[in-house]
Amino acid sequence: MSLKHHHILYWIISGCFFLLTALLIFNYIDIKPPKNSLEPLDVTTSIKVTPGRYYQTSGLYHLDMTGTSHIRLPLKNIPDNMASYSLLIIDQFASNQAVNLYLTAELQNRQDSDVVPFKQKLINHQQSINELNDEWQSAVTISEVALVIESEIALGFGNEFDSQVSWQSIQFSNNDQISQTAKIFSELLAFVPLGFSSINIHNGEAMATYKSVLIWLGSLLLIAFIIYLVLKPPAIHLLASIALAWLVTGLIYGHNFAQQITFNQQRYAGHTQYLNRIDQGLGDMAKRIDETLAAQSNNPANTKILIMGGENFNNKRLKYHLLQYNVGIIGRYEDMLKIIEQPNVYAVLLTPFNDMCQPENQTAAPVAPNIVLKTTQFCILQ
Amino acid sequence: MIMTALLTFGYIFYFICLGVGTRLAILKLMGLDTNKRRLSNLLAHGLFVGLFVHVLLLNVLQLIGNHNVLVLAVMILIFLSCLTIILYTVILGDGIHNSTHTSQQQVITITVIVIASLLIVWNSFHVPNLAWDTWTVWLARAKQWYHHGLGVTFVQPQTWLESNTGLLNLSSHYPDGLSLIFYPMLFFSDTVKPILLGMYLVIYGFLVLLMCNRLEKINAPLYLRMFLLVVMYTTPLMVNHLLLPGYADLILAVYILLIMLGLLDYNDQPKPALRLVIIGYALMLPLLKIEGWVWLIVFMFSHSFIMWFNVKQRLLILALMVITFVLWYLVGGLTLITPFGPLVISPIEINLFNKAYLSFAFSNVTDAVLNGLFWQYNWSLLWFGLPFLWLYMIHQKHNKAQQVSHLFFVLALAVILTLFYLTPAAKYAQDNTAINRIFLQLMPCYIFLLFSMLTAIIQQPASAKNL
Repeated sequence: MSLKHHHILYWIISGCFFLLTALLIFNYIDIKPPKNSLEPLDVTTSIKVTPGRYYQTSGLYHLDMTGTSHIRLPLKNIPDNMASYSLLIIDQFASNQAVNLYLTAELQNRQDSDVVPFKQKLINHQQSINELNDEWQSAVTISEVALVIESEIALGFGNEFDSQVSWQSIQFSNNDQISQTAKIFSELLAFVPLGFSSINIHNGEAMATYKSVLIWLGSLLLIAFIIYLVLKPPAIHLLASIALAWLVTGLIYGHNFAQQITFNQQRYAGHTQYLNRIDQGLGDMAKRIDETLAAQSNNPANTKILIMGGENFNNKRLKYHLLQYNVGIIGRYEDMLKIIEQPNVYAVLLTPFNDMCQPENQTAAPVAPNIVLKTTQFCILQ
Repeated sequence: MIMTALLTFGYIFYFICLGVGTRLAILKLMGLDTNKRRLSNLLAHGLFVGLFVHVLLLNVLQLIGNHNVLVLAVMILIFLSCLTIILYTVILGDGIHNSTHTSQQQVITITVIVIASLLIVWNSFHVPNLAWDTWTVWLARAKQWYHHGLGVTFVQPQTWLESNTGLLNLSSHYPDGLSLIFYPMLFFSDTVKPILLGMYLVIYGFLVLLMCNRLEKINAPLYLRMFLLVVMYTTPLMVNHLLLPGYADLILAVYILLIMLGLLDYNDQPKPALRLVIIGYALMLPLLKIEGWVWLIVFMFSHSFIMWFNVKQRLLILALMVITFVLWYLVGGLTLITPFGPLVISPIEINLFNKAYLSFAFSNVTDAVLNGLFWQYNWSLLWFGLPFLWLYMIHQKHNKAQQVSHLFFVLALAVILTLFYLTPAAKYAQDNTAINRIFLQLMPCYIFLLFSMLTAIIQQPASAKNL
């Protein structure tokens, strides 16, 4: 072949490697011996639920989460060969992406070893195909199997659409009963929402398929580079290979980005100031505190507010909403008692510390601060 | 949304005027050549110099007292003077930029940047200020200044409980830079987030434009520059820092790359005006974050090592450094008890008069590093380019400015890895709270080096043979 046709050869060879590496890395060519074929275990209706929370309409099962952010659904019957199942599949899973789903259990690695807890996060996608990890698959006994559903408070506002989670079926299954492609896509197209930790990390969980994709594309680029060195086609062909590889990762990212757009617009529209429902409550609390102190005709800048407790989300946000005051979070009750007698010093106690505002609890204290305001959520002392 | 856009552009306009105006004023005062640039470079550097001047100015104004109105008045006065200087130079003087005809390629580039930015706005506009450090540290401090005055003193908890002056701020030892950039926004918007989003997008957009301009200067074809745009706007963790604006890391990353681009420009045209700009950008690093000091030192070392010494002298310096290190290690370091406290620089710990303390201990963070660089999908495919970049650095001839940028990058990467492997910072690698953000600070610089390499490969088909 003449020199000017080297780029055709370059693409033919790279194309072959493209397919071959894909088949190898994504386990299409399975080198492990196949496990004994098992009938899938359908658990859609064999989970324990509080009566009235679980019902079926038009082919879908719905779980009502009204008034709770955490539901545990234990399996009624757990067969002995649980560890032989390698997949958990939730079909037609719909959650508006605002819940976290886990599979939990208790495992024994050897007959006489200690029981260890098991927890695996499940993929948040319409067809959630979860490869159960090695811990599960190598266990000798598996007990206390349960699905755990938690709504994700970090993701803004719990709205009415959070109160319901639906699926068509939940079943334990095996690799040979599900197409490898469906498995890969289930993981790659799973939703990665924007949350507090997104600033540190793009995707902290379910990394197996991402890893395969990156190893696949990385090794392809290395192969393409070697072919390029051997055949010496114009450099633009090498660049095109790089761009194509980037396009693959870009499509995965773009899909998630589009999902984020829909999600963020639903979740946050009209709530620009507050981070989530808890924060909205804290904002209202700050307003209440502000009004109470204003009624005592205090100048905010000269008023010291001590928020009792640790540096947690609630205290930090309340502090943020009260920055017009000289405000701080204080961990020690004694420190508060030391300066509460001074004029223009107030202490804010959130639950559970607001119990200390009970008159009977105060008798132990050397000084008895004056209760300015007391609600079920917080109290203000002076 | 329109109001937000207007406020954002107004705010950006303020910084650009501040930057361009001060630059003109200083150069005229010093009698230096104004070194005209093309319009996009003028505006971009105007913005970045403006941010620096603003931070410097407010750092000084903090010293004169606690009057927000006075601070605003001085700011407005300086802004108006800058505007006057610019208008005077444009109308009566000889202009402020090289007026070249608008190139079609530039229009395409800017359009793509605008579209990418609008997509990010579409995604993030309704999202509240979720970025944790922003509301706990940077914005919180700006809000304290807004309510209590720019000159207010910050104290730690014990002092705060005992005295009646000063506000409690646990992060008072962090540099003020980013909070000073946020501070004027609070006079217009209580939530700040939408303006912040706009500002970060404009800053990032101008940086990307500067990268494109620089690549154009070394004759990178349009398709390669388009690919750069795609990479800059689809690298997941970088986009996350735009979607949740308000962290200092991205801004630090911008200034690191600006210094690098400045040095490359200076190598082409060694004009004093450019030297001043580079010094300004370098000074901005420690004004933004504490680790800015590290990058500043690494930059100064890389620059002086390459620019001031020939190969023989460099080898001599390296040999001396190695000998010093080995001796220091064998002797067990330096321990001095001074009246100000202990000064210890030993292989076990560093203690600077009890003011700064660092202990050394090896932790294996390889998994965390690999997860961060690859498997968490933070940087997509980018880090696969590193071995090729090293090959390119070693096997090709580069001018001195390029050598400085290469040395800086390699040293900075080594510093990051040393920090996470040998110090208690390892815990921030293992809990994923800092490692990726530190890598982010080098990312635009790394991407730029990768694209310089791609440009070289495309231009020299023979280069493959050399490798």
